[in-house]
Amino acid sequence: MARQTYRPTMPKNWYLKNPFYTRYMIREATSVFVGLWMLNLTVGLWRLSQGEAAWQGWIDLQGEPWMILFSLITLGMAIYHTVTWFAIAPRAMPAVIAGKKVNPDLVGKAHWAGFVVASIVVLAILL
Amino acid sequence: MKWQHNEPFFWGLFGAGGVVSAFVAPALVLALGVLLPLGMGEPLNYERAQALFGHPLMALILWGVISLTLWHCAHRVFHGLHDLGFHPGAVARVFTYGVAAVITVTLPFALI
Amino acid sequence: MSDANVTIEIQRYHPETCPEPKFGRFEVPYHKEWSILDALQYVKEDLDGSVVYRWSCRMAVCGSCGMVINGTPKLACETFLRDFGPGSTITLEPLKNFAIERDLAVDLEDFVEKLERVKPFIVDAGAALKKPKKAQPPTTGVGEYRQTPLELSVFKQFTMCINCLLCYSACPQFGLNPKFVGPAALALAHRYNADNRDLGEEDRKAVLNTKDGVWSCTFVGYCSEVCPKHVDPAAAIQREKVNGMMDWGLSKLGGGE
Repeated sequence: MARQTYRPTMPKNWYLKNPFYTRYMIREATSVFVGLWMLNLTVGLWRLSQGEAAWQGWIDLQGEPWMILFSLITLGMAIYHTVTWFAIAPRAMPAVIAGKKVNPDLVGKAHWAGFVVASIVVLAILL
Repeated sequence: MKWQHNEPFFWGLFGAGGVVSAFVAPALVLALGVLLPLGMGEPLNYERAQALFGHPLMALILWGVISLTLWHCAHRVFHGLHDLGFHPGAVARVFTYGVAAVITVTLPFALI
Repeated sequence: MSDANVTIEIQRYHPETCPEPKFGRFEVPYHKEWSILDALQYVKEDLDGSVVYRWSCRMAVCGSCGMVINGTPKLACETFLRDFGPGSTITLEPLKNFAIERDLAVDLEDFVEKLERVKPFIVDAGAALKKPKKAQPPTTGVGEYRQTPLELSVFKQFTMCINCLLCYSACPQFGLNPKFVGPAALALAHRYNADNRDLGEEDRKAVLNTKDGVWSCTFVGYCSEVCPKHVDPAAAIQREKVNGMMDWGLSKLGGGE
């Protein structure tokens, strides 16, 4: 006798049904903000190549309140990306590198140490 | 085994962009998008910007950070469309990976 | 003894008598030492003998009693009434993303077929004895293959899988694409690929490197969260993606097959 099974359908808004899934979707969405911000920076570099007036126009645009708000949201999203990325990266690494067992906790801490150094360098150069 | 797709290529760029943006994006956005526009730090006028971003090493780093981050973004948006119930095809590829590819190729012209 | 109850709501499905899933409510006496499985046994023996669920060992080893308890994939045998408290309502649903056979029992055939495809066993152990994958000290005795604690540590956590399928229930990518090989089967493929006694990596590539293999995973990570044995299938899949990327690169350079 042929078996009669019931196949439930997955709701379209499945990512709202579980906070874990929602956080996953936010993690994926961080890239939209960071990506748009990088496109903004690309425009800036292109304006820089067009001369002083063009560059000043871009700099003035960055000072618009809505633009600062966009950058602040992007900053939050970028930090969320860093936190989630550093949580995953140590687990995705090979278990053994160069004959040594990798300690994921240590790798995670090393990531954060690198992040602090990189951030200080970037801020020191740009400010 | 014959590879039927090139997903590892896109995943590799996604991973590289994820690493790069995780390390530098927060500080980059904080400095260029928030602190400098609010008048903190040394004003980024034309001369300073040219000296800073015109440096070959700096230009190379900016090219790497921006391009890889866009590949990262493209990959997440492409797969995110699938998560949202769309089944992304060639058009979605053009508007995600295509944008990243175009910026990767054209950005050096703005930087030189 | 206890005078308090808990309400157990069980999603019922029976092709002949209940063709559309709906919840059945059962009042079960509260005992703090009872697991959800104990409560189900009480329902089946004393209230309604037609309730269908799978179980065997009662101690989180057999992997039979996986179900969705109050929305979270869990093993019924290691989830207790005391986790919810007297007077609470506990909903039991079958594992998500699978076809339902009866009540809490789902169709496992698709998973078993996927598991077979990844060859979850040491391939050609005899050949491995003669031709180790990597240079290593000679082994002593016939049939003995020495493995160092370091070599064991590379894959040990992935041997803990009990095929309970909580990870498939947790995986939205499997829900969106039923052809996705899925967390447990891919983690077991990695378990054998990472075992230096095994020579089956080439065979498994044919499954892992397809779009429905590791490349359907987007590291939602919920599979690793719900895994009762801390296998971390999401990590196993990422490691196989790294291997796949190397293989892809070699194939483009003409170095691979």
